[in-house]
Amino acid sequence: MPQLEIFLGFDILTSTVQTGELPVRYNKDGTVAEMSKPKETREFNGKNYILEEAINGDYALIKVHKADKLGNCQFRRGMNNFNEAMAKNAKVTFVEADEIVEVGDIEPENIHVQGIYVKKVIKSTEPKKIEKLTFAKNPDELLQAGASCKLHI
Amino acid sequence: MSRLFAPSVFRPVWRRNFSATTSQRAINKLCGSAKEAIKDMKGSSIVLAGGFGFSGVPNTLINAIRDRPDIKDLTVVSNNAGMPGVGLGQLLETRQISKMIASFIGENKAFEKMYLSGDLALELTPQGSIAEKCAAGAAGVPAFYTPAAYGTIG
Repeated sequence: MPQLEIFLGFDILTSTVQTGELPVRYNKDGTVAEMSKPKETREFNGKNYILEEAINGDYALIKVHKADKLGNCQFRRGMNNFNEAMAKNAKVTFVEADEIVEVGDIEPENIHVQGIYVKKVIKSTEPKKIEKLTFAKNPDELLQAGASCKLHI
Repeated sequence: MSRLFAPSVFRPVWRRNFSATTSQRAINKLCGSAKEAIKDMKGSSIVLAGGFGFSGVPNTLINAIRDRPDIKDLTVVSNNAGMPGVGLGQLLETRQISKMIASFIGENKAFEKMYLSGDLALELTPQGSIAEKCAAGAAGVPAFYTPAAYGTIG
């Protein structure tokens, strides 16, 4: 097990992200053109950390459930992932919404991205895609699926 | 007690506090199509694309960029890069993306092939770190310390 020996040779187990041992770009012939930069590390209260720099985006492409003409947006379910942070980050934020609503239809406390962050709003025209389709083995299973799931629209 | 306070419309004009609510009528960010929305978008820029797998992915906007071949040399920040023919996978195929900052690179053979053949740069970043790097940028925080990726292999 030569690989394991290499890792155990260090005082600590080193990480590829931390020590900059990940190839960022390869050459056409398969050799490495550019490696990642090692990250700064520091200890706080006996625990080790690495320094990550912020990303500052030029454009953000954001998916929301509801949006109004002022740009106020509400997410639903899985849309809550990276969308909020990215919408607030970029200089220019484009939003596509499942539904365009009137101003005031989204309760103030339910606005997840405020209009001030948003540049343009469009209505989604692409249908929702599903990565892996699985099928119920019998109709009973189908009826039970999602029975415990409450919809909050 | 609350009945003593009259609604703001009945307040005398000289006591109004000139709030910005009246300017709302002038704001309209709605666009007829994705094509129109991204018409001023330029290449060689950093694009943040939301979504995880196929959930919450802005497919309409991504397709509009796919239809604009002049927008290229993009650095795209996203958890993953769709699949061949779907979502960001299309922009990889059209060679509009030159660098990806991503955390999950599975499920996409085109991505793997382009990375290994030198057509695409990749900055592999832990998932929570990507989310926080975006949130930090939004809040004006230049950098932060995280235990993620310290002392772990891969």
